[in-house]
Amino acid sequence: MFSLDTLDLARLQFASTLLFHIIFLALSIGLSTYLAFLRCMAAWKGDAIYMALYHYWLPHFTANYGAGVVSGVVMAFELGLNWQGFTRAAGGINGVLLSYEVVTAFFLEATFFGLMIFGEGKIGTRMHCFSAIMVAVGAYLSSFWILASNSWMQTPAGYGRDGGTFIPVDWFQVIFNPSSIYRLVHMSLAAMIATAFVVASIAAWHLLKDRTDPVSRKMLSMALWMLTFVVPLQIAAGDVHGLNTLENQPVKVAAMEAYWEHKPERGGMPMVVAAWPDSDSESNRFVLEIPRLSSLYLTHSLTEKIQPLTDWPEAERPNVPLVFWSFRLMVYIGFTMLGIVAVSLYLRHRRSLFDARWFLRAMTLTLPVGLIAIEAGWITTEAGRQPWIIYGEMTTREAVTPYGTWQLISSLAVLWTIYTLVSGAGTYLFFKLTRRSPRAMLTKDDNGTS
Amino acid sequence: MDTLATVLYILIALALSIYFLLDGYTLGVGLNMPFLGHKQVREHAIHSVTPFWDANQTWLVFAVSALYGAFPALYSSILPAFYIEIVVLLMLLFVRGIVFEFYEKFSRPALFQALLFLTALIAAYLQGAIATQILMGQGLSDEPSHGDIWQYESALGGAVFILGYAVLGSAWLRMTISQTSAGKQSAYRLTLGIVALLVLVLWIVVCLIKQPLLASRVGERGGIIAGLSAVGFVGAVLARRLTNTRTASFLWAACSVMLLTSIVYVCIYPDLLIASPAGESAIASHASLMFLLIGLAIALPLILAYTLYSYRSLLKS
Repeated sequence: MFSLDTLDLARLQFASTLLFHIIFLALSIGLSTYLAFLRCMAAWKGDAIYMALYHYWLPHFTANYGAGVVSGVVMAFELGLNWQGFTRAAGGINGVLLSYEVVTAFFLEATFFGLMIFGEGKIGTRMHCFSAIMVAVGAYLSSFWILASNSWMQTPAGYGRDGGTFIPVDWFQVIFNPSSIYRLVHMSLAAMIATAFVVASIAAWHLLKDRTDPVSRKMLSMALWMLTFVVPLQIAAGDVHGLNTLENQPVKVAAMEAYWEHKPERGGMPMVVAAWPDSDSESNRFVLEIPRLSSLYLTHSLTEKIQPLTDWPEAERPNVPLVFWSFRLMVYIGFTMLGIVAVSLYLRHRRSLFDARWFLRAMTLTLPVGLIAIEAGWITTEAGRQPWIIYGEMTTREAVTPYGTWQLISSLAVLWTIYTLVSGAGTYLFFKLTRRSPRAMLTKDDNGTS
Repeated sequence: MDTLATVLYILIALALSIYFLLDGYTLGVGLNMPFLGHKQVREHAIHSVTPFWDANQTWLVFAVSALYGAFPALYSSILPAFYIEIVVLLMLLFVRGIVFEFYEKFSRPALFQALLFLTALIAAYLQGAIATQILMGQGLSDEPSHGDIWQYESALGGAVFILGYAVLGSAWLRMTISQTSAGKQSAYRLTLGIVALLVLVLWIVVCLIKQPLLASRVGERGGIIAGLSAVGFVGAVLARRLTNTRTASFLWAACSVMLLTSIVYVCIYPDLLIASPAGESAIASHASLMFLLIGLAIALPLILAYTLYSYRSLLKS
């Protein structure tokens, strides 16, 4: 059924590192923001609840951060290990952006992380708040550079070619290429949402055991307020990002919609709710669809249509079922989140947010939803740009290092073994840390200002 | 190599030396785990590096990413040449990082200390063996995975890194933990130092015999090497004068690392690697180098400033 060649194995290896890394990365962005906010609020208001929340989430953050850093290092090396053709041709752009990430973000995060964790009590309150903020700043700077780099590969701009080599011509255009800001906003919001769901779910779980716990109440309420503002914003940002993709990578959007060909007898494009896109027959099987809806969100009209997949030769199309379903998954999760936010607002209005046990029970189940949406989104964008590593310029097949199959399989075995062990230990640790009662973090004399 | 490329060559070389020094003592603490005697000393030893391991490791990421930006052809042939070795090295550093962040939260000290020792041992070996291979002029062909880390000079290089890191780690512990300066520990340190020095000399001799180009460069540049050694010596004397004995031993180890690596770089230049002249195609475009250098010129002083601040405030007892 499967025949995996060097390219498939190299992609599988890179994809598994990315999908593993992105979980920690998203939580690092979200938790560092949350902790910096809590630390500063504690210092400013002198409120022990903020400090209790800070101390509750700090160990989760440190464990998560460690895993994020080390899996990120693996990625920096894997570029050169697996994609020799790409790194040789585009190092003058991609390598420079990566170096900017290291010197502006990695050192900042790493050093202030040390101060944040081990400086408490050794450095002053202001310096401690500053360190927490710098860790968060480092997380966003890091995203900025790596997403600029990724976006340049998706929508290259500001470069020239000298034979096989890519030469930067205008660094501003390279960095602020057509998709980089869209991707940065979409990913940053996604990280906040994913983290807020993790936090809300843990808070709900504790409230089910002790509905009077003031720390858990604050935790749930803050996370839900965060989601109330950010989820609608994300849906809007996602829409804009989608339109940007339609402009720059139309075949990706055609795959996301599984839109094979124009049917002149139909007005507008239907939204395919569920189907099995069949690449052999170039059509969808088992279709459930809503007429004209896809036209509405893609072209903001009821009649216009996008370019169908059959406009491109088969070799230039991505894996349609994968892109279609990962995109559906992300979008469906997004709208489910919106529903949860609406319910929470209603319960808040009824003043029964902490008493509605059915809602708290439902919230505990939402722990992974944001992370799943992020994984699905990255699969959509990365699988959707295939066969290109630099869009329209270089294919992944041209870029891949010509290892033997057994070499790739043995390195995959090593990576997966370690990832599995670390995931196991990490999950165990997460729940061990989570079992601690938030209320127990509350000590009267620690209000964050000493 | 023009001026711009030379400046980046020096910065990357310097970053690599700083990595050997800083992660050297971090991995070295792991290497010293079985020889620290008392349980409490081992705890202290781990705590003394936990705030710093991440930033220390970042110097390697920096050196590698700057190599990627400035000399892409080199980056994309060195890494694939040592494919499995590098994947294993990364996984070892991965586990090492996880151990540091998980240590406090799991109560399995014996297991985690053993992991620190083993990951450091194999990682140091791999680094030394890979470095030796590169120094011998391997790793420059397009054919992936042709590096051989089990040749005897590589094995010797691995031993040099293991012993060198152990010395650095031991000097770091002497500086930061008072219990390690007396009795058995100082006899252990002396033995370790002597063995490390002997193996180092042996490795240098083997390298010079195996790579005649390196030997001829050493001959040509005797003056510069003597000058560098004089600077190193003055540094060592100043370290002794200006600080106490405990700090001085770490600074001496640090001086040795900087001196040795500088001599190696002096002998390789103006090649990017020994026996590989830096042609036009090996170096990124002027626009890439310039932009990279601007970024480094702004960021590196800041990094040095806050790194010093963090050492100063966290090492206060």
